[in-house]
Amino acid sequence: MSKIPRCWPILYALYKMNRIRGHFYLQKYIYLAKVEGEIPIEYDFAKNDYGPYCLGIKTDAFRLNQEGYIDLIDDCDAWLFKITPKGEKVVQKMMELIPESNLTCFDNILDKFSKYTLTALKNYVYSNHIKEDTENNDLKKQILIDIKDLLSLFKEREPNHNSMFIRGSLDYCSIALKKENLTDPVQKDMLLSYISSYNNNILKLNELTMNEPNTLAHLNLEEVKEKFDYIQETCSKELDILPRLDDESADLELFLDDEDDDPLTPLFTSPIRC
Amino acid sequence: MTEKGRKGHVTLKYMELTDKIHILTRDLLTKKIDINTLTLIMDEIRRKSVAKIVNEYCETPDARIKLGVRRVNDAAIYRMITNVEKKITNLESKGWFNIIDYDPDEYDIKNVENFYKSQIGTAKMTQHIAKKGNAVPSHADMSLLCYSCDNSAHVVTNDSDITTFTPELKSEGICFDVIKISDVRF
Repeated sequence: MSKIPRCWPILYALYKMNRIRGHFYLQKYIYLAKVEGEIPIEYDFAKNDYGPYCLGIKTDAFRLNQEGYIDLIDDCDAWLFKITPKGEKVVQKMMELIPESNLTCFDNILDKFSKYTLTALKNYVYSNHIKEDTENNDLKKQILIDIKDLLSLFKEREPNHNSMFIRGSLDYCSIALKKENLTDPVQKDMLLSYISSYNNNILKLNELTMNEPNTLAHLNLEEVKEKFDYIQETCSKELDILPRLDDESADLELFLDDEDDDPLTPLFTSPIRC
Repeated sequence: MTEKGRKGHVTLKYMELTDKIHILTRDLLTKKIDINTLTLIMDEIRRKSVAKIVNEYCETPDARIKLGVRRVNDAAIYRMITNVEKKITNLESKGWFNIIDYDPDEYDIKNVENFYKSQIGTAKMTQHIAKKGNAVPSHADMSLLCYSCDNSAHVVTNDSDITTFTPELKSEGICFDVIKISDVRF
């Protein structure tokens, strides 16, 4: 299934369900399709207060909305996901390439769990699937991917102080994660959870401003800047990984990173592109 | 701005106009001419302009070659943005740099806006919109024109929103005068 874009489960779930109300359900349907349906799905799930969660699903959903494959409607404090006619055409093409057994498994998952309430679904996932994450390295890899996805969302915005602060702070977190070599699991867990939480704050900013991107330049980001400040203090003073970005005694060289030279990966490549 | 990249300390400078602006500033100060700017303009510089210009510069081969990288990443760009912003803040503390709290009359702003809209359809404006995307400049730019008119002050700029329409702006009484930086000769 290497030619199928990683976002196919989002589109397929919406195609079959017609609409899904709330990120929570979208996340869990795809998670269960992966672990119970044993369908090859590229998304990796990290532990979260609401159960297994993948930031990539959220960022891909925004990109699918930007490119017209799905609609995202603000429906009283929850996002309503709906597939568009353009999205339907893509799904129909993808279905010719996905093994029928995988589609059948996915259908069974959706049939079973679409009847569950939020609480029932959360309890089911927790009681059947949550294991302690003993390998922080998998989580670190996922957070780095999440940062890359978030950067790709904000790179499409007009450069101004706020958008560049967001991009700069995310990139700083990425550099810190690449440089860290912490052996104390408590310290490592702390760093990963701060940065993961920061990523979620940035994603919320994207949600807030995606329909009116020009508002980003005028937002007061003091609260977000405080959180980034805390990360910088942790990385510089507590863990000695990387100096603060505003440390005048630190050379610019310390913050240079041109390793990930890949251009933004398109959501779709031929033969599926519409 | 001097930074230490992978090839050691380098001077990063965007625009050939930087040197010209330095010379012009010294020239004006020697002649004891006041240099004023508006709070609105400083706010816009901080909110948008510095980030836009630094980001643009970092996309140039000059920046990549000097820093010794294939591309300039966002953390480095943001670091440079905050450094430039600090320099601008330092400028504000100079005795010769005056920041004026100017609140333009809404009627005057509307007048400026109507002027630009009246140019729509002309060859000059058509070309301008193709480059900039809009016919009407920002509120900060329009305020600058109103200030120039109210105070018989020259606007010193390279912003094409203003310099492209200098003859018309002057003849319509929208501003006092405009000096295009790139046309200045010493």
